[in-house]
Amino acid sequence: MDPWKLHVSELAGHVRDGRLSATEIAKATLARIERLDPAVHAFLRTSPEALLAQAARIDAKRARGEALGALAGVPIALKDALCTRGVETTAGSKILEGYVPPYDATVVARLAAADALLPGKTNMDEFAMGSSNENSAYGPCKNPWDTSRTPGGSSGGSAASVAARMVPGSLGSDTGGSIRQPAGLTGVVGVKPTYGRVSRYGLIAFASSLDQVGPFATDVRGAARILEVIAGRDPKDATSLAAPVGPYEADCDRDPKGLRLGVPEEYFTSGLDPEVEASVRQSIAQLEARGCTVRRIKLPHTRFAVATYYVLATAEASSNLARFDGVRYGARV
Amino acid sequence: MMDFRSQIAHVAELASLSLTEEEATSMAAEVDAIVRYVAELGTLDTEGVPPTYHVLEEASSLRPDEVQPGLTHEEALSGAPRSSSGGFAVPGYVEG
Repeated sequence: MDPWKLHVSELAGHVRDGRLSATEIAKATLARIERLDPAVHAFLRTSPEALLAQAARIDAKRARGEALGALAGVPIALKDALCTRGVETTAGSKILEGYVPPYDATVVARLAAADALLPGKTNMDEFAMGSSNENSAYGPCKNPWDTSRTPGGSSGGSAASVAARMVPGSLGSDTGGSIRQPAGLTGVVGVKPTYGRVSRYGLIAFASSLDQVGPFATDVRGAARILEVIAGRDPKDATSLAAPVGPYEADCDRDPKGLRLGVPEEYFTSGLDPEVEASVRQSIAQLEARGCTVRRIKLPHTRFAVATYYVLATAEASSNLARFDGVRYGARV
Repeated sequence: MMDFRSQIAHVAELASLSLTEEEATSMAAEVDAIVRYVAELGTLDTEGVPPTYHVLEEASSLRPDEVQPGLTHEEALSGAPRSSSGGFAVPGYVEG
């Protein structure tokens, strides 16, 4: 059985049932990264020893007959904007080169508590500012479908690592499209959760009122399962929501019949690639055929959204990144 | 079209960047384009629209003020190039 061909839920199921060991998966993942990543550059660094130790712990847990977590033995790559205890974290910047956080981001701790495997940190535009991954201080990540193209960004490495099936899932962060756009450009599932749904504790901040951590996966079910693990109130992030976490994965089996969908007509204006539009319209037609009611709606302020975004995001980035400018206590270079 | 060249020169000086005349001119044109794009927002009538202070509907809730295990002193200082007496050591910048 080739682990790389399996989705998140399938892998976890095989590990739980003993058809695959976490150690086999960890070794196969490292081998696949070693083979494919030189051409893609999705990873800034991997942690082979820590990965094999995690895998051994999960296999030992199963051998003792203990219950395994929802992501048992599932390799999840982490955007390098997420702090990882004992593993260098740079946010794609040379300013943070050599920074080894003494703590885990809450989402990282939750993945580990769900028995996920964490093979490494992924490439990104510096401090998550960019939409192509070309602004990484460590060199660009490439689109695995065509390495002359970008995977999008800023979470380009997280998207590309999933698109190349080096991992079945990963975490990115999205401020103004940094999960959704690279997911679209690499043909994988990516979700920006509602603001507050997922803790930002340990996420190196870009624009705090917009930043949100979210999953990439090879299938919708996988993204749903990862989101279920990482979502929920965190006492360490006062903006995280107390609302209960939904059964996202179970909801994947729900019949869409009877759902009402609004389609904002402003989203189908000039600048939209005809092939993309045809594909989106086809999906809408499919949902209609499955019994959804589709209604055209108007969102008349849409044309002001990007200008508003650039006022807010750059102002917040300016505040957040001031801590790195060396003005207060002098540069340490 | 506004001329942003003097502002660009001022910011470059604050940031200790040396720009060529060409770079300064092209940046001034870019800044002008950005400012005009954002100025579009001024065409929107926001009279009577209450300002949004935060996107969350529920008030942010703080955790109970209880002592919890956190980083040890050693962990907190692990990233410091230099530490002294349990604190971050930085180069002196006041004479005497």
